[in-house]
Order: sequence, then structure tokens, then C-alpha cells
Amino acid sequence: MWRFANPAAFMRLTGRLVAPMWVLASLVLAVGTVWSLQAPPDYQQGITVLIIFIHVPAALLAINTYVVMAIASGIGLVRRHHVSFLVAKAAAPIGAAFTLIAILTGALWGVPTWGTWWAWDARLTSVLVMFFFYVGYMALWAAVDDPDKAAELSGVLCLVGVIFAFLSRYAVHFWATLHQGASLTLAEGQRVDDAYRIPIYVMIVGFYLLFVALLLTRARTEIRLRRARALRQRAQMLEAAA
Amino acid sequence: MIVELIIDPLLRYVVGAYIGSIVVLALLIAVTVRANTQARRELDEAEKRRDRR
Repeated sequence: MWRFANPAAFMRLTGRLVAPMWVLASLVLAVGTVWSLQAPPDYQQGITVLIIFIHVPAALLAINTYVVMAIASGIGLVRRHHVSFLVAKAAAPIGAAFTLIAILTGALWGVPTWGTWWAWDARLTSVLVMFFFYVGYMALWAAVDDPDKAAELSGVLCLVGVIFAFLSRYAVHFWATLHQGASLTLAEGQRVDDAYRIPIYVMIVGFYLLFVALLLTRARTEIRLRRARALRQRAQMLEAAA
Repeated sequence: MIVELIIDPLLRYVVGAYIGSIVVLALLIAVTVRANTQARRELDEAEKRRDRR
């Protein structure tokens, strides 16, 4: 696995995967969206149940993207692989976008269902703080000129924020909150009818594929930029020496 | 079904959620593709400059 920490090996492998991932993500999301929109109105939520087909996958990816970032940052800090740091950097805008979608769709679902756009509930608050960590992480990368220093500092910041990804996932188990617990669970039998459950799973798969396609594309961009920067610096050094 | 959806007052929340999500994802994809194109061009130029030398 560590051979993919080599930028050339990473570029070779991902070069073959990027295009199929985009095609697959587009197909699965198109099928999932059409399927979702066929779902019947819920007896309590009415047609606002349709929002759940975006909200659930986006929220799941918002949390899991942060976990991916934290793992990549941890590997980068321990093993000094800059590809790991670049993967974490590439994941941040994707995670921030999914978090924003989760918050936005949650608020739009909350008005007719809970009677409010927002509540300082444990899960909602931890997701909001996680969003701030995403933004802070990206701001820190942009604020530090030395890319190695920026990678280390933002890696540490990412690891500090992982507690909020954990709370976003498990807050509903720790506290009695307004936000309901997990409905899609394998452990306690099915609580969701197949008319909703199957399209939600299709959308979750589509969101994961989109995440992989975006992550690979962005990681390849970061590696190219790093390589271009290194070549420019080498050229400047040669010019100075001549 | 379509008529029911159109007259349903809850529809605006659903439409808002879908349009909002599509806009956020479209922006993310556009920014990603643009950054990728620019990075590719930057690397090409840096490699050409190195090869000329």
C-alpha cells in the first residue's frame, strides 16, 4: 500500500480510475435521483421526505470525508508522506461542500417537520463546528507560504477537529436530542420501508462514487501543482548558480 | 401525482433543497475541473522550460 505514497505510482494508478469513476458516479446519481423522486409521500412528512434522499448521503459523506482527512493527515504526520497531506488537502473542499449541503437540506427539512430552521441540538451543533474546522483547515493551508509547514500545521488542526466528526456521528447516542437517531441500521432490523430505503442506498453509493471521483481529481491536481512548483524552484536555483 | 406535487405547499422546501444542493455540487465540480486544467497547464509549462534548458 505504501508504494502509492510515491507520487508517480499514485498518478499512474489514479489516471486509470478517474474517468470511470466520473462516469459511474454520474450514472448512479442519475438513477438514484430519478428513483428517489418516485417515492410516495410519507404519512407524516409528506413530500418533504424527498429531501432525505440528499440529506442522508450528504451528512454521511460530510462525516466520513473528515475521517478520511484525519487518517490521511495522521499518516502524513507519522510517515512524512506528502501525498497523504495532499489527499487530505484535496478532501477538505469536498467535505465542506457535503457539510454545507447537509446543513442546508436539514434546515429546509426542519421547517415543516420540526417547525424551525435550526436548533442548538448536539448533532446539529457538532456538524456546524465540523464545518468550521473544514473552513479553518483550508484557510490554514492557504495562509502559510511554506507547503511543508502548511501541511504539518493543518494536519494537526485536522486531528484536533476529529472529535467533532465523532460527535456528529454519535451525538444522538450520547444525548437525547431533537435530531432523531439512525433510521438506516443493520443491527436492529429495518425501520424504513423499501420504497425509501433502496433509493437512499443508491444515492449513498452515488455520493460515495462522486466523492472518490472528486478526491482523485483534486489529489492529482495538488500533485501536479507541487511538481510544477518544485520544477520552478529548481530552475530558479540553476539560474542563480549560473 | 404531478398535480398533487404542484399544489403541495411543502414543495418549495423540496425544490429549495434540490436546487441548493445542485448549485453547491456544480460549483464544487466546476472549481475542481478548473483547478485541474490550470495545474495541468502549469506543469506542462514547467516541464517544457526544463526540457529547453
